[in-house]
Amino acid sequence: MILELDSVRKSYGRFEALAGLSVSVAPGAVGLLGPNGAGKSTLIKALLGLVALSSGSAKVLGLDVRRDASAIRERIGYMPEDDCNLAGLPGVQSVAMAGELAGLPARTALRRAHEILDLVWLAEERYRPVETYSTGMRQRIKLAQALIHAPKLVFLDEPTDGLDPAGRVRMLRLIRSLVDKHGLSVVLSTHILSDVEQICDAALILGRGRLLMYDTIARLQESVEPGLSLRSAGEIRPLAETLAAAGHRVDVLSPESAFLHGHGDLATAVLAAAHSSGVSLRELAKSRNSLEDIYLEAVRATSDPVPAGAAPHSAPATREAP
Amino acid sequence: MPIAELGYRPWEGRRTGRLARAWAIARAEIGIAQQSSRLLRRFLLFAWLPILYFCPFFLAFGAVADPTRDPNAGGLLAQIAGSLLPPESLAKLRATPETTLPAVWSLAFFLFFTYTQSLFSMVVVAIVGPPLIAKDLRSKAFLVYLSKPIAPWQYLLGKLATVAFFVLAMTLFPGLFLYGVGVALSPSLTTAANTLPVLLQVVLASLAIALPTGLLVLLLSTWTKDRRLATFTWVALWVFGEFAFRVLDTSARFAPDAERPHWAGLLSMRELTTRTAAGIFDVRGSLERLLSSLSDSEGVFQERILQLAAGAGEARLVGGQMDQAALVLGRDGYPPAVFMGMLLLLSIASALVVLRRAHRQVRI
Amino acid sequence: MAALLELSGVTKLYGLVIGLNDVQLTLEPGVNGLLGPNGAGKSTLLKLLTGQLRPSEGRVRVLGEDPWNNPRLLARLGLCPEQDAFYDQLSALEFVTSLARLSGLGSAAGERARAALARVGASEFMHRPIAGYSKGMRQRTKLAQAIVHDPEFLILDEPLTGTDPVCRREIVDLVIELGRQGKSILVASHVLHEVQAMTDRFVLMYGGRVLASGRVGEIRALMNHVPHRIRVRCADAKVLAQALLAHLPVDGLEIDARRGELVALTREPSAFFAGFPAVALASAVPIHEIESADDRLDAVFQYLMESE
Repeated sequence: MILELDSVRKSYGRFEALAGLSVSVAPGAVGLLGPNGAGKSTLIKALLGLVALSSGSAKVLGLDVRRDASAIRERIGYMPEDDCNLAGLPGVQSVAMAGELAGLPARTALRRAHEILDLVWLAEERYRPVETYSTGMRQRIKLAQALIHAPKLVFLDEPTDGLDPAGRVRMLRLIRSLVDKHGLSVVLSTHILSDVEQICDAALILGRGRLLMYDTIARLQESVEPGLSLRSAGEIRPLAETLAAAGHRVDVLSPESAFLHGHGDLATAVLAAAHSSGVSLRELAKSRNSLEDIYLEAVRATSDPVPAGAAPHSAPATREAP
Repeated sequence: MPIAELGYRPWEGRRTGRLARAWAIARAEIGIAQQSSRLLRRFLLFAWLPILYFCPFFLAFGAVADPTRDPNAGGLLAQIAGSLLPPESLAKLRATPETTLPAVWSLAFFLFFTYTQSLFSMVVVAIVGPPLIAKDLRSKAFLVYLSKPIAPWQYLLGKLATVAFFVLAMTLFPGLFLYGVGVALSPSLTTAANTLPVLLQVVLASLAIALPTGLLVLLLSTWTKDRRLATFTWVALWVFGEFAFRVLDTSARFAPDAERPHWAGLLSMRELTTRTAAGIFDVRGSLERLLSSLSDSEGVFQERILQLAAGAGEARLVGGQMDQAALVLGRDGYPPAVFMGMLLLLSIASALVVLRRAHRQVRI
Repeated sequence: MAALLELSGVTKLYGLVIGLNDVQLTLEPGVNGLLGPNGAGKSTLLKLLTGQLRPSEGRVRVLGEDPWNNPRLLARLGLCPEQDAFYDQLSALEFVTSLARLSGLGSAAGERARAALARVGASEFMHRPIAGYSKGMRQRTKLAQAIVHDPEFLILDEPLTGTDPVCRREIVDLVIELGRQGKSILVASHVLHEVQAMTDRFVLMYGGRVLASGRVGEIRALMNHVPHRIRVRCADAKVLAQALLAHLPVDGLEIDARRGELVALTREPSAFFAGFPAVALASAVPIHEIESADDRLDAVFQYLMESE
């Protein structure tokens, strides 16, 4: 388990930022989701040891956040959302310094800085002061300083913010490769649900300081309503009618899209119907919940949160019963 | 050989200790400071100029105090020595080199530190100090610093070491050089051995200047994101403090039998460092030893000694206003220990405030 | 109906830096998306539309008029800028009311401000000072001041940055609603999928130039030289691939036999789709999924930029 939280609470005066959070997170890539004010940044800061918990216990990589904060920080990296840098230094030096602060010897830090900067595709710019960088470059420097000391777990806060579409793809691929090839675990805190769908194994959704949901992406996307969603080039009605005539339940959603209910292998039936009705089939996909729908549903239903004091959930747990 | 993988490589080495991490910060900041300010680089050289003035002094005094030398021999050195002291005094000084040499050295270093080097230090601190923390506040570097395994005190130590480095470059390094010159020119090794306490005093005085001023400027740097504000406040602190002190001092001289309030000295940063240095170099003791070796009739020299003493707070004006007053040896105001204590207090308070603010930065 | 906006041969230079490069653009009333990476010229374009800049060359017309030095026209426009520029100590209500007064709403300003803030879902916090607001609240406040004077033409510059998905959905719904009420809206963003939720008409910009304008399908249809990519997941990619090659107008194939995926490239997508079911059935390869990524805006944008 990379994270083990038990009834974690954090209050600022009367405001409860974290209100009884209990969960155990498995290694891999986890998306940390939740509206503003849900407690995501407070949680990350608490796990980094930057704010003290009001009550409850938390363990990161098996180490207690209260007792072993320094040891934790040696093993984790943090890529903040805000624009931050060690001012006045050229890129490679600021990354090397981040390494030295984490305990790397000076020369090791410098050579690793170069390697990591290759990884985040920062070329000659690394010799220029960080203040002269564009947004995309700053993001990459932040990632570099989070990775230089070879952490086992990395917290990434909006890592694709400010990157152009190509850069975004590259960043996401990089993050995934770190998980797949090098065994890092990643906690990806972001508002961009498609990023989470693309590269995360599981999603952790917070709301008002409580746990709303924690499950694997695959299971979250399993639709309550099994079936196939269909799209055509041209009118889909003939296809729908043909399928209905064959005994299937079909909903026509728009002139070019429909939903076929049912289990099992229906694709063949659809193709046959398309052939016989002369409809051009453009898309055929297993019905899948979009993460956005799940998220919105979970967040809007915050009147029904997980009660504080529930036993810690082991992962990947089944979806919360409403 | 198998193909090497580009990109990420794991690392499982031994981690460096706490101080190494603080030193990493200091090293980087020292580099930045030197690169960014041409004025600073010039000052680092400029600070060695006073050596040119003090070296001849040691040279001359070394020659004078050498018992093996003929006092009446000619030569430039003897002439210089002769201009400093009347011949009878010279003879007396030569008679007891073990006591007089360290005393004179202490006084010479005291002058060196307070008249020239502390002024340079103030300028250097004004250049190096204010941006150190202010820029971290501005660029939100604390998010990076505090998510790494370093404690706030290590951060403070690193920044302090930066300022201290430059101040020591103004004070300790030239001071040690001067000490070396003095030792090289002293009559014999035993007299050199006698002056070892002076070496210790040089080191302590350098630190006494470096650390409190460093912490104080870091305190100012922590309070604002704009380094120019911190610079201004720093300079203002010195200037207004000194101004207030001078006003109180001069007005005391005008009023008959009035005394400058003792606490006036605590207002001026310059007074604080000067009096602390006076305490470390034991100006009082040195003066007493020197004057006991001389007779009462050495007027001009006495005057000079008394003025030096006044600068160190060990002489007072008595008996009337302005021109009618005369300098007399005696403690003027608080003893040096009070000033040292004040500096210590300021240092600790600054350090605590800086640490607290560093802690709070991440809560936001 | 008069065109919403019209740019003829507009170039804007900032010294050496190019903002817009010989832009020719006409947009009809309705909801339009303005897309492009940072530095593409979106902000420059918006500043020209709202009269904050004059073009170095060319002519700008908004609702038929030149926006430069034209307060009457500005009263019909609403701008929600990208940056935050608030008086932090004011509350949202005070802020929007004062801006409403500046628009000449007089005594009704307070009333209208309240209504606008309610529209954007800010009633709950509108009495608190702006200093304590989250990003989402600030965005809503900016939106409120943009609609308080009931403009005909609303310009939104990156309205969704920094907002969480709940807030995002609400803003998108608001934009769609305003569009349905007959307002014209121009939404500038560098995040493609967000804008797709609001409209299907786009202007794509890059490097100060307009690459394309229109509906996704239309734009795609214009790019015939770039083959469509159709992804099929099936049980036996190799067999299916052979069948497709033999019977359908396929220009190229990418096969990942291990994952059971193939991507067919074709320049005749309609013929491909029409013939696919028959060929697939004949090959007897079980099909799991069919996906044509080309409907997606980011794919189109990618092609446009690559073909430059």
